[in-house]
Amino acid sequence: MLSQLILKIIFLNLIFFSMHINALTSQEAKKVRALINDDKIITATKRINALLVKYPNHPKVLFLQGFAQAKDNNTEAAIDTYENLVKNFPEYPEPFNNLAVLYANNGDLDLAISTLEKAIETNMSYSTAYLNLGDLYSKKAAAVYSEALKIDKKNSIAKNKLKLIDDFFNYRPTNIEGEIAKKETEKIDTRKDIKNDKDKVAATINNWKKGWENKNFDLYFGLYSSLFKTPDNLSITQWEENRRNKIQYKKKIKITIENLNIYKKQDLFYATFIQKYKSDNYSEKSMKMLTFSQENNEWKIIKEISN
Amino acid sequence: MFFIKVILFIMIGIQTNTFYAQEIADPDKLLKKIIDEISNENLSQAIIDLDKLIKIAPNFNVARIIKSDLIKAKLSAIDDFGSGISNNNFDVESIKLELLKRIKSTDPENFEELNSKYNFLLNKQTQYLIFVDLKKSRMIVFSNKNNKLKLVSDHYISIGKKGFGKIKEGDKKTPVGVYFLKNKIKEKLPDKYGLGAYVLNYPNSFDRLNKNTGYGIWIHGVPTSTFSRPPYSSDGCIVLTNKDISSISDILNIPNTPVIVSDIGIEEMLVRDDNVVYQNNKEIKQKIELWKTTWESGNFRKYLDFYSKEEVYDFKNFELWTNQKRNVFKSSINIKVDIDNLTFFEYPNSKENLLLVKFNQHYSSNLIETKMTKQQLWKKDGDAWKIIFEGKYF
Repeated sequence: MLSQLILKIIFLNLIFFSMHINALTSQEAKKVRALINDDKIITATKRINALLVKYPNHPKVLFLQGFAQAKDNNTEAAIDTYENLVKNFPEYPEPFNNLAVLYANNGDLDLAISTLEKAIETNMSYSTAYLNLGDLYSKKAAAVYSEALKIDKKNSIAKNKLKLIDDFFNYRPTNIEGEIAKKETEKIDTRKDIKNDKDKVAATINNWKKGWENKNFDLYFGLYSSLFKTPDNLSITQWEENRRNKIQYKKKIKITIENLNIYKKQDLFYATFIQKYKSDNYSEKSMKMLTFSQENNEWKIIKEISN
Repeated sequence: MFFIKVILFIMIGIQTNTFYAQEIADPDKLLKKIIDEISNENLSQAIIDLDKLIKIAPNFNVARIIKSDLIKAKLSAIDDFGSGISNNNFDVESIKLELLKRIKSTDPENFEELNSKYNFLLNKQTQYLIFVDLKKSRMIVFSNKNNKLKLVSDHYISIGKKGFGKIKEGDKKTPVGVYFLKNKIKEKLPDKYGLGAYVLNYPNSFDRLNKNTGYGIWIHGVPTSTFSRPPYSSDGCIVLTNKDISSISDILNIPNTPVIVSDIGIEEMLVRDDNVVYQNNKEIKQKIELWKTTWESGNFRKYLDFYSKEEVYDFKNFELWTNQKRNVFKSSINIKVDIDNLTFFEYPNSKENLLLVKFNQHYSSNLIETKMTKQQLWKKDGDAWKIIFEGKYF
């Protein structure tokens, strides 16, 4: 079941890739890439600018532009380029990776981590992003320990370890010109929809937190679907009663949600976050994942997992 | 031929073992290495070294927590020390404090500088001196040869839950002062005292003078279920790991070994001016000599001038004591005072300038001959050293 799911995701990605399209020949791109790798940035930039006139907004050209800017140590411009690229072509993992590397070089580890996590969401087989993520986790651990133990770190961030990617994976040029523009408009719409739904899910999580904290059981239980999978296979009523007993006698409950990440897979939304729970006599920190399914235009919780 | 091979094999085996043991014997050194590796983002090596550490220090909570953190850090971003543990069985804050104490300990290379920074005189009978740095949670063991301290070992310690500066019974603080080891507790003790308990002479004379109460301040080990305890976790005792207790048990078994329990950290002492310490040391020796000759001279007025007027002697009030002394002086001739095994220690108390002096006194006159171990407390008031307490040491 699970492997089927993964296969589907990869397959979908392949479709996206193959739909990406244009008359830009791999020869042209190869030349520019070679120039950048030889540090002939000025010549490369001239060629890129010429290509941009010929193929405005072409993801591959923009990608090369960002790569040239990064190699030229023009981090700010490179970040701008990649930020635009991931906004307009969020299905490509490569720009996310490069963007994350640039963020990390700027010392913004958290932003780099969340950016790489997005890259992995776009393509599960994306191993460079994974490796970079692993390195970032190490960097984060080093930073956290240095901070917690007040250690002066001499080499704050080793820049050379993270890998920039210099080409799109699985890039298959076709020659259906004009498709890009069409696809782009389509995509903006779906992205807008996803954004709306994502906001709704975020609002639901906020209500869920408030309902729990304020012991507003109507609000709290109202957010769970009738199909909610209770732990230990209790009936919904039994489960509600258990929850009610656990919650109502607490004088004060405080829930803090950190590192919230909401993403969509198939028709479901998943929200992962660190949940810090604090009541009169108990506090606990755990990772939580809520799964949401749409019912009558509302997103309801169908699954709640914590580690 | 076969036997030679076997013997060679055994010898190689022994050698590798010793080498291995030397490489990793000190948990704190290994811990420092691990933290260094983590801050240099080398988590894989850190995990390998942690496994070594856990092998030599089983049930070491510091190591356990770091390992959970690092394993978690391989899969996701951690956000604090202790992020990797999911249950509430650990007091993470205390364990973090222990880790801090262990990795921020003073470099042992500097310890012998104490010879010129701490004001003391040791007699030949004193084989060892133990210095407890309360601020750094460290116990440093020195051997004594011709009044020169030589580093033997240093150890992480836990002290009272409420820190140090014991005043009264049950305040859960470790006393500050110059103490001497008494005996090892011979009775079988509960597991929480670990591999042994050694008694300190708290409350000493200065404590009694200050009306400090409480008793049973020991140096002892930890329960067998744990490697060590957090820095502030005892009821006032000084707690070592069982490994450390057994490594210095021969020393702890020597009665009268001085234990300097200091609220002035070694690092604070190291910045002192050698010359000032040297002058103080010289001055006090001269002063003790002068006290002795003045006594022998029979000049009561001058003798009395060595003593501070506010304090009590032999636990009698000053007036009573003065009258008794005056009467004895009046009728004594041919006073002879011999002092040997003189030893003294700067009182390691940041509040006052005090000195604890101990010696064997042989007194004789036309009336009486006595021998005793005497102790005195000298206090520097302004420019002059005065005796604020005097009595028999027991």
